[in-house]
Amino acid sequence: MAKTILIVDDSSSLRTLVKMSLTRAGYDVIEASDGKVALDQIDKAAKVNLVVCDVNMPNMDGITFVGELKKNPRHKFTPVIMLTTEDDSGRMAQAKAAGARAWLLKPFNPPALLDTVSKVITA
Amino acid sequence: MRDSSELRQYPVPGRRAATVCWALAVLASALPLLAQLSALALVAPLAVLTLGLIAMQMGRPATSATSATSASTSEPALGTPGGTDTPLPKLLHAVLPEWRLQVTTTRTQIDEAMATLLGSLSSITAQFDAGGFHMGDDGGSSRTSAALSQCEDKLQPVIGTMNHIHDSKATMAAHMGQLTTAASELRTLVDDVARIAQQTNLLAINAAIEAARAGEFGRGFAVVAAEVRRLSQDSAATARHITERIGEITDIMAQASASAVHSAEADAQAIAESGEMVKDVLGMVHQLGQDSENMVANARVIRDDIEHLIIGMQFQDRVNQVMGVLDDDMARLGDALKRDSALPDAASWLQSLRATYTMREQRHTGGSATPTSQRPAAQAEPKAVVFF
Repeated sequence: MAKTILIVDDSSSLRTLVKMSLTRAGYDVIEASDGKVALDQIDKAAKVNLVVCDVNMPNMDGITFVGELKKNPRHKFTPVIMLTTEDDSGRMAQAKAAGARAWLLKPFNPPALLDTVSKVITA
Repeated sequence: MRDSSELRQYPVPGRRAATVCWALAVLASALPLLAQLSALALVAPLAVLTLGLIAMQMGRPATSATSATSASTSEPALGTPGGTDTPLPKLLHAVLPEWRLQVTTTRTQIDEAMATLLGSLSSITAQFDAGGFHMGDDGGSSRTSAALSQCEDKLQPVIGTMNHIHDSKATMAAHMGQLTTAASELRTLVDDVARIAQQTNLLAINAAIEAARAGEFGRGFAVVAAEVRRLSQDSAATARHITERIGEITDIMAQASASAVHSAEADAQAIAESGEMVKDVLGMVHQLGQDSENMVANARVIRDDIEHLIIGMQFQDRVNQVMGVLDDDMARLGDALKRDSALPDAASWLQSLRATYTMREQRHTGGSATPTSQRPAAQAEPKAVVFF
């Protein structure tokens, strides 16, 4: 059974690009346009093996989302990769403290994304 | 909207100069960002509006630094010879929402257009992948090669089969020639038989003469001599008959042999032509195979180019981030104007703006007040991925 990945990004074009890379590699993908929608989506989904999340988003940013996600025992161990244009070390430290597993810079190469995904995704 | 008397109290000449400086400083900070986006011609109208605004302010009599320092602080509000009484805060208050709306609309439109474009391009790459043109997938190519190789394998034996038929016919023609030679030898043997019959006939005549001389005693011998003569004549007739038949057979065989030789020659020519045709077909099959390989290679190049194109389109996300910061800053300025009619301090404003920068290009362009040569040289390229 294919593993499911939740993509959280306010840019629909970026979601399309990430989805294209992941579906080609055989993953199932669900999408959300910000942190709030993502929390709603992940609760409705049967099983999410990984979250790929932008940082700078309206309504709820990526780092706040990770913090909220980790508060829910059901998703405590769901790994999160931050996929962002930001390269600020302070923000990285915040993401790490919130419970993210990796920080991947945009623009990204699909092989680099898939490599990162394969390293942190849970069974 | 603010009370007009309130507004009149604000733009004294000194402040007016400060206003201009502030606007110029903010613009200088924003310009590099605007330059980034100008390629898309998205915020050019904003730049034009801002420049127009500055020009309008600069065009006023009391906006120069000299007049700002010398003029009385009790000068009334921005009465302008340009024909407008609108002070900068009021103008910004009115215009900022419009600018933000334009920026937001443009961002949304670009994002939607890019999503559609990316969807189409990813559909194209998916079709390439389905066709076996994905890098590392040899499926399509090897299937075509295998089919063409089978054609070659099936056509190659056809030439051998035709050569075999030609060889069989040549063998038959050679056997016909041997039969003709044997018939000639038979004719010689029959000639011998005819000569023997002639000699026997002469002997029989002589025997008949000698029998006649012997008279009564030779009468029986005369009968034998007559029989021998008749047999020799019959033998001579048979030999003639055989010679005639051999002649007929030799003629027929000569014709058959000539026909076989002619047929063999025609066959050889036909086989040679067929062989050439088969070779041509095999050549075309081979060429087809090479063309197919080239097509597969070219298709892979196209597919990879499209993938690189898709990756390259991520610039739009970075542009969107930069525009988002501008949008947020315009909102912040709008809020500041709502709270306080006075324009904020330029230096602290810029500091706050730059504190929101999270990308290298923002920091570079945002810090453009610092000459490139004085910036820290070793600003290492950030790592593409960091694991926590």
